[in-house]
Amino acid sequence: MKRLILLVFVLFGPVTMLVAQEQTDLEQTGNKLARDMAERMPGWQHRRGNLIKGSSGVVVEIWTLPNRIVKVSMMKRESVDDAREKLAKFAQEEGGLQELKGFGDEAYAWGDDGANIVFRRGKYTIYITTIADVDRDSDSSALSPQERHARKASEMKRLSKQVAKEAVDALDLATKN
Amino acid sequence: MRLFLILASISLKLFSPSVPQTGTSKIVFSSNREGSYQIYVMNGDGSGVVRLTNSNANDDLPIGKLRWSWGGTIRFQWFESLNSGRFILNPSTTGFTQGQATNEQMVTMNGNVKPSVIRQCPGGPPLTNYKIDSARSFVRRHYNDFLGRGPEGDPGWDFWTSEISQCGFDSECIHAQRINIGLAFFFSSEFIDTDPDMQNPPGSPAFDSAVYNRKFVYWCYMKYLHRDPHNTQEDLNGWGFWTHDLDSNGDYAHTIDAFQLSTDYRNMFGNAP
Repeated sequence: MKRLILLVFVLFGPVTMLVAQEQTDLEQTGNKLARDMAERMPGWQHRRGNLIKGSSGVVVEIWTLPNRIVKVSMMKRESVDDAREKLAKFAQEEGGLQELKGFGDEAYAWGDDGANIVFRRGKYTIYITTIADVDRDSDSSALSPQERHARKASEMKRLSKQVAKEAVDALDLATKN
Repeated sequence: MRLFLILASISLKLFSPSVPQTGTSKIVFSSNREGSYQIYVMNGDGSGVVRLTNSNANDDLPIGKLRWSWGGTIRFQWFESLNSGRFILNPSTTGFTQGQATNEQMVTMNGNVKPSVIRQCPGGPPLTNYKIDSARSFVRRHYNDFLGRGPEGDPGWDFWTSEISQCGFDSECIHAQRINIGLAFFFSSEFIDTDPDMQNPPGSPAFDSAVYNRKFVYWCYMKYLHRDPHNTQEDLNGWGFWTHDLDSNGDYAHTIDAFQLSTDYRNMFGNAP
């Protein structure tokens, strides 16, 4: 029995430890990122988000203001080349992405009429999506459908960019060492 | 020592892959060992690995179970181009040879491989030009649209893809699994986290169908059709129709099925055959 246990440990132990270590590193970076972003974004609430079944290697942070939610999903790739390749693949499959300047090493606006942002900084890739529940705004009933639509679109883009900017700076700080 | 041997014997029986026991058994598998996912065949002992496909369409290749016909053929899907589908792989009695690069490869359990023309598997899904019909692309869309992140590098992509590809060529199974995946993404904590109205799904104590159903249909428009139903009278009517439908039957699978099979959705990912 001892031999069997030893065999299982020898075979699977190092792999399990490596995977666990990578996840821990990512979570530690995620914690640093969240702490720094919280300081940079007073008034925002935040919490660690859940992952869908089957997923790993992702840290999700949910940032909220009244009637606004911004989801930040961070992944760490094996290398800078790997990160670059995977982002290129995403861009190719999603199609119609608009390149953005000033957000990490490379960045794109995508989905929801360009309201979402994905950027890469070194080995890290961060996706940012925003939900603007304009219908719940206190003055919503005074807005025409067109005005509501316009506000929603502009709010989503504005908040995605604001959070992306803070995330880039916080990531630089979190990975400095 | 005796206990060890008994446990080892049980472990081997439990964890050994079930390889068809006919002649020189072959194992067909997919792997990204050379960069992109390809389909390979090898001998039962792991020797003689031969690559069967030469595809750049990494996302479209199946991950999951390949279907074996006992005493006959192995079937697999190869999405070399959009003009593909599920193929029957015919048996052959000649020696082991790899076919020319075509849209189809045939592998027998005796290890014979040869190219053939594309044809639909009887009883299986029809050939298709819609990229969304690829299990891997379908799951990718759910990651991008529902979770707001690409699936690259996430093992969940393989996990959800295999939920479909394990159906092999069973059309009804594939259809049901695609709906189940839609529901799974809707009911996932990761998606629910992004909308307070979705936080009490059916079955939860605080479920309120008046709030939930309308929002559920709203997200069907947003996530599947990529448009806000507020914006046109036609979509406002559709939103009302599907919400009423959901209120009357509580069948969320039916609603998801309707959106997944809608021409609007399918046309976003390919042209009509």
